[in-house]
Amino acid sequence: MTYAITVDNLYKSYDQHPVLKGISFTINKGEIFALLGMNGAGKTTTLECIEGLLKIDKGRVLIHGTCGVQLQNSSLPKNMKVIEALQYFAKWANTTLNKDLLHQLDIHHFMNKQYYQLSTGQKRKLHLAISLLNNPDILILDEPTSGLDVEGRILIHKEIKKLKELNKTIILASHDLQEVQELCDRVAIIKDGEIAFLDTCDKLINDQQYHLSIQFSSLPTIRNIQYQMHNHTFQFTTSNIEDTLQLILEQVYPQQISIINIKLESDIQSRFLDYAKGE
Amino acid sequence: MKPFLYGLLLQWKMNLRNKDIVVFYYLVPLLFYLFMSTVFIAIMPNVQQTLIASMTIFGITMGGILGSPYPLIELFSYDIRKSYQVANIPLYTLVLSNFLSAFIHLLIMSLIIFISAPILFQATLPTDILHYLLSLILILCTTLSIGTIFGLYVKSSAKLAMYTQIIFLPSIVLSGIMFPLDLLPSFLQICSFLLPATWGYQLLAEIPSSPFPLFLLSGICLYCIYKRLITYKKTTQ
Repeated sequence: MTYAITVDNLYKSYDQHPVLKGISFTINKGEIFALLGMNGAGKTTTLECIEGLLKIDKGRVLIHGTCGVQLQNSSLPKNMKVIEALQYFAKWANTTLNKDLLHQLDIHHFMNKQYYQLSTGQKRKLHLAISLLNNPDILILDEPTSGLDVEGRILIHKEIKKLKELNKTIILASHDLQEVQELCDRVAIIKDGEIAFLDTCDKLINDQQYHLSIQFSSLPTIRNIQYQMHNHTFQFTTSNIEDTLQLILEQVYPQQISIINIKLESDIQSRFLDYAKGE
Repeated sequence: MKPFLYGLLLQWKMNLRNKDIVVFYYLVPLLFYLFMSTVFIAIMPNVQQTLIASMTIFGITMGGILGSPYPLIELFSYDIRKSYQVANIPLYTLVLSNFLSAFIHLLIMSLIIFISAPILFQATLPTDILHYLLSLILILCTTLSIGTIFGLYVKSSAKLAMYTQIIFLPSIVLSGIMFPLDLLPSFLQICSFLLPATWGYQLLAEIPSSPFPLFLLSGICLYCIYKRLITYKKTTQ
């Protein structure tokens, strides 16, 4: 397997406060890799070390290929027009403006607007276009859809999928778990500057624990299953929902107790929280 | 070279789109020139001999010290600076573009005064035009270097407005452009020679003086600008 990015034992501190504590991962060529974590976990710091914006205290980052970057908080001078920004960055990237790209990202509608006149979504699209100007092998996207409406999100997702088809490597930091589930091949969850989970998206979803809450007509006696009780509601945590339910029903029905209410919580969000917050 | 020249043209156009900058580079200097020239002509005899020099120094000091740092504060704000850095655009090119753009704007403003003053106010043209132009370039470079330092070292526009007055106000009052230096108390006369506007005015008005202090000040400013840019340098991989 050829790696596009290798991050090896990365350490970074701000004023003696360690933010990254030996992070290591590799990103394969052509894959979409998600970097997840709570606010302040170290996602943006990791990306900025990869981008070369921050000096690394210890460790190394190897990048195999050209890199395009869309930052979390990018901005441009308020009086710069969209067309001027694209031409300016294209000249520095030693390339010409790709008109197809402007149409794909729906930028051609607001080419003559000045930066301060753009909506958040239009700014996001512009910065994505700038990051794609030099046709990079690797694309680093820090929360590319934050602040976008549904239409804008769909458009960006479509573009990311198209880039994957072109065998581009994409590293994506996001808070949007649905987005990660939809787009990404592998996920790293960072917790307190360390990797808490590193595997495929499927593994993150399939490994999850289900939280089952059942309210009975009266209090049953339940054996061989661990549970907690809150206000006459039994709470079970299990990775195998079918077996657990069957075991509960086998014990409850002979006691002539019926179920009044049943609630099952299972999504990638709770799994993410398990890792990101250590719950 | 092409990207840099495009960036310079872009900066020049952006300055013209920015109303605040137009006020500093053109509007206030030229209105001040029209208004004060009318007043000076009425109350001061022989003012025609120094009118072009004094009004030019006022405009350059206003544009260079008060106006030119603003685009730099914007360009070097965290989010914009990072956008340029990740695109591997050297930050010194931003400083240079802003410097040259301001230079061209203020040169145009100075030439408007130079051309119109003899027609409107019977101002006397300098005897040595080449000396005048070289002195103009020198004072422009020195003033814009000081403006660049303000733009790179001061973080916010609000603070900038306060700090730049430390240079601007004494420059207007003490440099000799409003009234002759020998009318000032001796202590203030000494202080006036710490200001580039004083040396610049003397050069433009063809009062015997040395350009050396302006060269020295420009050199010191360039060193400070270089030191500041080093701190922003992108880490290499």
